[in-house]
Amino acid sequence: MASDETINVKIEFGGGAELLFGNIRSHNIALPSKAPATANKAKQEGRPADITFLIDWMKENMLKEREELFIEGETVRPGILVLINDVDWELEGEGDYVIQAKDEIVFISTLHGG
Amino acid sequence: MASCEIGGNEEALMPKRRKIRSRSCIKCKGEKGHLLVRGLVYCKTCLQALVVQNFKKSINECITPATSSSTVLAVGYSGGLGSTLLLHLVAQSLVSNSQRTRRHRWDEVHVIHVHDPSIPGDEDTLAKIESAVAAYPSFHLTLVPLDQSFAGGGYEGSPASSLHTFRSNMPTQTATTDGTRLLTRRLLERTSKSLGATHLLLGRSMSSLSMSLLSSVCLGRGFTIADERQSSSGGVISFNPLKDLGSKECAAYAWWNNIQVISSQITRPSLTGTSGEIQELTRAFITGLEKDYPSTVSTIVKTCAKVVAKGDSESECRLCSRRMQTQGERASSPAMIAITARKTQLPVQDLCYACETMLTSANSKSAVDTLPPLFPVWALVDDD
Repeated sequence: MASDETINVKIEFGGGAELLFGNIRSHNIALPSKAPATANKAKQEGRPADITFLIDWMKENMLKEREELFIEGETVRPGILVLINDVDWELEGEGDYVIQAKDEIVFISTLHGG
Repeated sequence: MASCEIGGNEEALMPKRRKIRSRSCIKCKGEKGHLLVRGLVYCKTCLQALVVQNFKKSINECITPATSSSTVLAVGYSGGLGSTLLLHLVAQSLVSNSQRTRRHRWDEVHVIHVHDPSIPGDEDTLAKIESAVAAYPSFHLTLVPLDQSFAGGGYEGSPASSLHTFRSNMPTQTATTDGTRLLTRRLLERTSKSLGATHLLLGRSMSSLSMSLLSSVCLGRGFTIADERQSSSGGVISFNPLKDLGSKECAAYAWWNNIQVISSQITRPSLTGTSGEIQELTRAFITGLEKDYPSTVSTIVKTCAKVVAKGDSESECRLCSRRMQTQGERASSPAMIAITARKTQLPVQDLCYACETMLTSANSKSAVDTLPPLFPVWALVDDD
């Protein structure tokens, strides 16, 4: 349930990425609405939750195995397509996109190509 | 004294410059864009139309009235993104009665899946493969075990044990992967021929194809690099209808059309359990390149399409069944000559440079102690 301190977000996985998250394709999460500072201090504490924070939160709370297949540094590794409400995250500011309530964010792996 | 240091010990990094783009679709100009593809913005509708258009264009380029003499079409299917999308496009664009044209008429579509029973979880994967193909009632599924490469070869033990020996005797991890892919390709071609097909569709996208092309060059297969795009073996023409589509647009199309990829591959360890093979390193390189410089991947494929091997050879390698340079144009390594003379059933002149290197890896520390290679059945007999 959402509160002033959390945002309801729907996360989905495709292309095999779900295997890293307990083989569950769809997750409804309550994401903290404020993000801590990033490890390299590039982003400050208390900022509104953005995709960068979401990825870090997923790593800490959802990722079951093989972290290196999903994350590289503070972003997703190359080969992971991210859609925010059906739109390419590159058109929405990538990690800087500020997450809104009821956003649907999809992570699709393209690593098994053939 | 003047110093050239920049900011002391801090690492100087250029901040990533965000390009300001129009959010409107480049094709229809009106709709809001959904996907950025190599610098161009497409809406969902136009992107999907682009995928279908590129697919049909590739089909028409490679399957001409002159080359189409069979009513059987073969489609290679691994369960991955490209081949899964390929099945969907074939069903939607080539087989559907409403879409059939006079140019392409197939009474049968055979989906061929080469699987490896020795890999844990193979049975589960097969069940998913069968379920996926069952969604296309007019398609016929043919399952081919990888160890069929050694069935009927007169080897002691089962084909599975022969496959294990084949891999174990490979001198390097790269050679093991290269050998496995070679067996898979040959089984697809041979099975297509046995089914009566004249064309074999493969699901490699532009991204996958660029990985194959660069890997081929690194592995010594540059002489036949053109065969990675399109090849002919035993009367079967193999090609990649998705060659003009990157993995990004393929993935988006699959997601928007609810096309499920068989997901057992992503966490499957490589056959050798490491990531040190040339193929994996190339994949990591191309994937990174595609993220930061997406047009470069397209350039790799287009440039390799212009490469023409010097000379015209009619000789075929016994192992990979591709053209090979004459012995006068290359010199076999002393290690290979010694090993072949001492242990193998094939004379060195029947193997191309790349296969010779794969079996001996002359630069490997273990070259002197390389175990005798085991050859698949097609290398032992003339049956093409």
